Amino acid sequence: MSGTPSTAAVEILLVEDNPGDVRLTREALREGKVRNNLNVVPDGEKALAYLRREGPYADAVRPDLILLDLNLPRMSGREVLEAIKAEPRFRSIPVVILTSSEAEQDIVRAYQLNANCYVTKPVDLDQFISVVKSIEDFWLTIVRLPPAD
Amino acid sequence: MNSPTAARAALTDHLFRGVRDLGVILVGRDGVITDWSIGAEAITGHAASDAVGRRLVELLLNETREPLDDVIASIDANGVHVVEGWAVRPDGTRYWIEESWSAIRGPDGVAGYAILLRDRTAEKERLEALERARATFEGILAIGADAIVCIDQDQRITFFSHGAEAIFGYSASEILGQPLDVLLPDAACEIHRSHVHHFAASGVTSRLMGERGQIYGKRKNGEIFPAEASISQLGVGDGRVYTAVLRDVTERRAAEEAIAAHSRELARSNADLEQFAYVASHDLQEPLRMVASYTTLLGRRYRGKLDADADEFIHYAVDGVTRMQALINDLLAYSRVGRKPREFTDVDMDEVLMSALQDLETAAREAGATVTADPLPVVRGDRNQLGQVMRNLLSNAFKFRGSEPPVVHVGAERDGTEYVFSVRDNGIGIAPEFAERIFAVFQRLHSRDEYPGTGIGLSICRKIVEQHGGRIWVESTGGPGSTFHFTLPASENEDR
Repeated sequence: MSGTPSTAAVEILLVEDNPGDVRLTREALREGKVRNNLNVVPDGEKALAYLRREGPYADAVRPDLILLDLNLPRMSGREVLEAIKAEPRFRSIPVVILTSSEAEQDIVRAYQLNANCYVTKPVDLDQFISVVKSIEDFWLTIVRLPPAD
Repeated sequence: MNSPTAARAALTDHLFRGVRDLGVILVGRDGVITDWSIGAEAITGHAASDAVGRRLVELLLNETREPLDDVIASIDANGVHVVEGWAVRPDGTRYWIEESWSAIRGPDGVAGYAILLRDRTAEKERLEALERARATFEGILAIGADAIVCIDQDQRITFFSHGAEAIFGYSASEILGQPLDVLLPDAACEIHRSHVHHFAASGVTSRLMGERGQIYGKRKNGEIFPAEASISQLGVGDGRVYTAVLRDVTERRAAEEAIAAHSRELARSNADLEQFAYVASHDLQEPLRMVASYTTLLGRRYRGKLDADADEFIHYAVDGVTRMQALINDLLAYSRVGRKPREFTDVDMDEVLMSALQDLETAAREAGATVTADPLPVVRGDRNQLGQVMRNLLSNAFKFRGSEPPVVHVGAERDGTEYVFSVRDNGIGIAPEFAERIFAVFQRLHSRDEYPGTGIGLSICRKIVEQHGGRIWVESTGGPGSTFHFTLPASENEDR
């Protein structure tokens, strides 16, 4: 089962403050074909602390994929994205913006900040599951990424 | 020959036999006519032979003439007595006569009377015409609520109508001769003077005042009021008469401002409402997504594993939340219409129809629908939005079909600067009492089981059409078939 640490499992960091969406993402990934470890942080500061292995995240594993919500308390998803892409050691980690915002300016801004892709959370459960599965499928099995340094 | 007596005799002879435009009549002390000049004949139409020996009252002014004694008394008092009035010649023509009576005194006192006759008809008629013109003019001035003020070339007030008295609060008697400045706000006096000079120099007979800004008047009590005025100029002799017609527009201004304020308020509250609908529908989607996702998940994972009640409850929860999602989506779609700035282009409605039919291909096939159309024109509008109107109307025609397969016809007719489009079907029809209601948001005439949908489609159509400056309505007798009409402005480039 996913959630069990394994050398073969891919590491996913989900930055999401809504537990409902966390659970849905978890459910969707559970049905996925790739063994994965879903790590969740509820805000942007903790996301950066996780990546930098600071404080309680000293043992955190470098994620293979980051799913980032835009509407986060305190530090916004945009600021998190900017910080991730500003640090050379994290820059190659693909960041998928997964948000409920359909606003054009959010989309444009996210790509300007080098988001790897921008996905609007579908309203329908089945579509949501299929979108999360597609993200997983594309970024974790189709795309070839540079090895982590 | 050249003696004074001879000259006087010659003059008398000339007066009696030569002068035709002045009549000379002599009467005795008893009023009987003794002499009747050729001029008197010409003026009165009575021959001397007819007149001599009679009294004047028998020939002229027989209805209005005073008794002879009164005339004599007047001559005694004033030396001369003038009688005038309308008289009639034997041929029936009317003339205004003036008699000037004086006494002829002999050694024994008054010997008789000399009367000079003048025909004053032309003068009298001129006077009467003038009087009529004055009466007409005064009548107009008396009725008009507008102020009519005349000034001379020195800008002194020479005429002040009743309307002017009412508006400005001055009586004509106190204002006549005053400078126009007393009627103007202090700040406007100088400007006004220069305007009048420009106007005088312009040679234009009349023009509207205040084309370059609101003009104001000042009442006797010092109150300043907004006004509309026109001014005309006429040269009279060496001088000029300027006439200004001025209307107090205080009330109209107030009404206009109230209307403007009201429509600003309306626009603002409309915008607020649109914003509210947008935000509400947008922000409601988030929590709703949670409810929908988890009730669906609940149903999927636990259906048949709990008891029959639980399954039923889950079913209603999923059903309700699904409907709510549809409503919120539609509300969002509705509030999005018109949120984007308008980008109108020339839109070929033939293409719009073709594209709508392609989008609805499945629905049309399933309904077994037949769609025909006249050639459709090019209009001015937003292509996507007009596509939405066409799709909504066609899909309604497919959806609300009767027992027969749908037969739909799309037509267009030119009406002045716009086109009237029609989408006619053979469906279930709409009772006339619902003809207006169906365009309201979420209004449905049927249960969801009969015909699915939230009831937003026609509301969106109406919003789009109205934002294009058109109207939309339905014609149906409630029997089979209904026809939806909508108007759109024709493209100016249509005949290119």
